[in-house]
Amino acid sequence: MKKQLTNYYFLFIAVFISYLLTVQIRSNVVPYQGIVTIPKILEMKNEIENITNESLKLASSISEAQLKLRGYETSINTTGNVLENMKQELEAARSFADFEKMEGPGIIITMNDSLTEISAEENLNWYLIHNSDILEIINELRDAGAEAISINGERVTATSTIRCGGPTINIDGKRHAVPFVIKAIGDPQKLEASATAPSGYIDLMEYYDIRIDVQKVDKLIINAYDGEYKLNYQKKTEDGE
Amino acid sequence: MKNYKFQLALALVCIVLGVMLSIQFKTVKTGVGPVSENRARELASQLKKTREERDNLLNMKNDLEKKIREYENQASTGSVSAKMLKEELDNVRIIAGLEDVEGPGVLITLDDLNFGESVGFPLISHDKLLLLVNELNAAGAEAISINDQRIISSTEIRQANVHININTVEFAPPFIVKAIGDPKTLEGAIMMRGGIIEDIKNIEIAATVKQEQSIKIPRYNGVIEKKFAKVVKEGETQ
Amino acid sequence: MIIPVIGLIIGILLGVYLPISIPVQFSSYMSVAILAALDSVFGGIRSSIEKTFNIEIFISGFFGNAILAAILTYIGDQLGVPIFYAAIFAFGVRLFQNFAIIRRYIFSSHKN
Repeated sequence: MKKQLTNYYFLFIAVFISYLLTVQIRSNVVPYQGIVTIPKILEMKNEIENITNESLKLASSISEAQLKLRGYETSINTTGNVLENMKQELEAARSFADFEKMEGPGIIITMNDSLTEISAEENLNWYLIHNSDILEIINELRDAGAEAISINGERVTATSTIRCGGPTINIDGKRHAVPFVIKAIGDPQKLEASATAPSGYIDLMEYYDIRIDVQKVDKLIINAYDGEYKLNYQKKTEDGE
Repeated sequence: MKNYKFQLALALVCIVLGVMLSIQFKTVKTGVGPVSENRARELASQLKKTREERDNLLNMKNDLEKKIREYENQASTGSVSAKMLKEELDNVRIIAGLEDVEGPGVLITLDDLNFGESVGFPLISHDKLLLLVNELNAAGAEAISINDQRIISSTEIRQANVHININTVEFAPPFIVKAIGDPKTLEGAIMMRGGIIEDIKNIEIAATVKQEQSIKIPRYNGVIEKKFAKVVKEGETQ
Repeated sequence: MIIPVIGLIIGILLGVYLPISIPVQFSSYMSVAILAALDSVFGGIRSSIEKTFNIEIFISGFFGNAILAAILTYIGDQLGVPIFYAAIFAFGVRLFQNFAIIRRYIFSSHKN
């Protein structure tokens, strides 16, 4: 009699365990993650944030493309061709590729070498403006949303080079000497804030008495890039590849 | 007596333990959040979902752009001037970074082998990448991407703690830099003595440079904003 | 047994209110060190019940184990060997064993 009771007891446990097992297996859509460590969690968090950012950017470019497509469709229906739209597209693309003269509000940064007398132990190099200084400043302006940038009248493009040429600096192969005048079109508040931020790059340069002046301007004009199309090596990847 | 000594020792140890515990608790709570099997699963499924969402959006975008290109292609068969317009449009789009492009060039890999454990500061800092892009441009690069982020006119390469933001996307090493142009010139320019690659190798970064016959560089996949800058028209009519 | 508990509370309050924080990258070393420290505490309680408590061994074990565990984890990270798991396993098993022994002593002393 007692043995039978034990059997029922085992049966009950078996049913209970198998029930738990099936529930667990069915609910596990996500595979086992291995031993959970702090770096692993951090990495996943980071990646999610990154991809979400990317999606946000994609979403806004999708709505832009939809708008464009609608424009093309209405043109087809009314005038029968999309040439007008293509001309507009061309103008927009030209402005993205820096082939257009632009105007708008922004800031002007004027820089000149330091006039400080320096002692023998100090390095004169610290008191001069280098190409890397200008690269850093351009980079900070881009980060602050600058939409068009020029240095001493030379438009800065995606493929611009800024190199040291002894006492001068070469911008896209053209020599320029001090003072350097960097113009940037964008939100003047934002641009100025980033340019004058404490511990920003300009702040660092002012430490060496490099003479820098940052000025907000309501309207400034930035020349178009007047170079050739750089299309000797690159070509469009055809669809369907 | 012995017990008293023991209690004091234990108390001292407990103070240290308490400090460690609460500091760790603070760090995990503010910087990581719960570290548990559940959380890992949750994050993994969230990651999968965001990835799918991104891929969907990418497909949507490609479809829309394909339709637009189809209209343009149709239009370009109409007349000679339309054909020229289409060609010009394609060329300018390539230069603006709005088209996937391919061509010969170099492939540069920069890896900070100790990144995971690097003591608070990364070996590959944004200024090295800025200089590298600058040197590649000087050697006649026509299109450059870093970790598949196309470098366009408004691209920033910014240090954000141990990561580097490019086109507002956050990256950690390795960095894969692709550049289209004359492979020999590009390689020569960055590999020269005292050049940028030597400079980078000096700070114990694994760097490889390889010439390639065909490199593919994706287009910029965000929206280029011109909210403040307006095109000046007069120049064209003069 | 009240003094150690007060010590623990003081320590927690110190940690909460002092502006000390460690970078997130190091938090995994800290977690192993905490486990090692906990192990020492339980080991200390056990030895005091068994009347084999030795203050030098206790204090050196506490700091030594915590530091060694953190260093081993760091070396493991450098080598790509997750020594981390070994530390968790070793300290975890010892912790439960010590706790079990402490429990037995407490219950047997109650019965006597």
